[in-house]
Amino acid sequence: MRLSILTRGLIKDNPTLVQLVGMCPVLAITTTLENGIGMGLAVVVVLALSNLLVSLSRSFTPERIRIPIFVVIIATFVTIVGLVIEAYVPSLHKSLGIFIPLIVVNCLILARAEAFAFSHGPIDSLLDGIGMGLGFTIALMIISAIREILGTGAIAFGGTVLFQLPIPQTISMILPPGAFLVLALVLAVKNAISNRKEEA
Amino acid sequence: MKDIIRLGSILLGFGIVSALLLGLTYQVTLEPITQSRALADQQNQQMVAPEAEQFIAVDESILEKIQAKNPGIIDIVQAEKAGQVLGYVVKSNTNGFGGPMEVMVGIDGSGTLTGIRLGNHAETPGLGDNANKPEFYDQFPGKDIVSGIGVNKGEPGNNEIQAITGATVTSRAVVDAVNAVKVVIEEVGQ
Repeated sequence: MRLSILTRGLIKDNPTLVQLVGMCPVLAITTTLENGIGMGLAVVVVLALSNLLVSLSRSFTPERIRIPIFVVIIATFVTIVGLVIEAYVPSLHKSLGIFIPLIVVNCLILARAEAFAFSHGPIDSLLDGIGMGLGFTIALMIISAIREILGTGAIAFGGTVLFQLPIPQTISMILPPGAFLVLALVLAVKNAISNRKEEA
Repeated sequence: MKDIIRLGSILLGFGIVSALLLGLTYQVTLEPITQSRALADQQNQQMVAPEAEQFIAVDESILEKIQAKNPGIIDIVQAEKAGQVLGYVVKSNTNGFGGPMEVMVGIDGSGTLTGIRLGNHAETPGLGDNANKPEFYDQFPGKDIVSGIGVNKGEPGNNEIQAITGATVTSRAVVDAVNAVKVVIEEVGQ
């Protein structure tokens, strides 16, 4: 049972491709594969731990004011994570620091707090956070890889070009319109596959 | 009414605990963060004035005089080699696309750039933060800030910088921060 909580977020209940929550970072930062992975991993950590915190504070959170309390918990926690990383792991802050403030406004975190962590135990919530975070990472990787390849004809990581394809570079794929186009295409493919599965 | 007070105090409780935790974390991390930023500044100074061997802070009075003219100038150091002044490294602050943005600017005594690097900033990952890549900042050395650098989206001209695709605002902001350093040359240049 426990395992299914973890795996559910990967494909079946994928936060980006099925639930369509947290779309703002999906559209904004998926310009390169490196950014996609960076943002994805930052979300895994924050989501898992904020789910844990929300679940732990369930007993003294009144139902009626749970949303503002979630917001306070998440914002506080994200800010602390940001400060600690900048202080003690400056190299990680250099590559990930820019994503951390963006996570505060990611409604995926709030959505999981509301839909799962508030009504489940701490361990299940932690697992849900990790699973959903990884699902988010997978979706970001797919979209950002497509955009980077179409936009620059290459995949670069940490400043080195991994491979270069002999295709024309379509700058608009890196710009915001490309984000909407690729997201729509990925969703269409995902839906076509799940529809076919249902019919079979 | 009672309920409102009860809920309000619970929320207040959460707020107080959060504030305490944040304050505590800030206190604890302040020192290491200041150090790591200072270290990053030093590395950037060396990058923008590659020939310099020593960086010496300029007189407080000169800095204040320049800041009165342009509050965006945060810090000025003299870049020296064997006791000879090669130029200046100026930390210039401006507003980018994502809020305040620091640019480290290296110039010689006559206002020709020796290099620039981005310091602390919050530009969009993948677009604006491309300003921190060599393709962008390597355009700056040799350009002249006394006559003012321009930004061009197409083919850049003589004293112009090619804007980053999809990040025109960031490109302009960087160039503005660089051009702002002109006041330093007017004050201390030869």
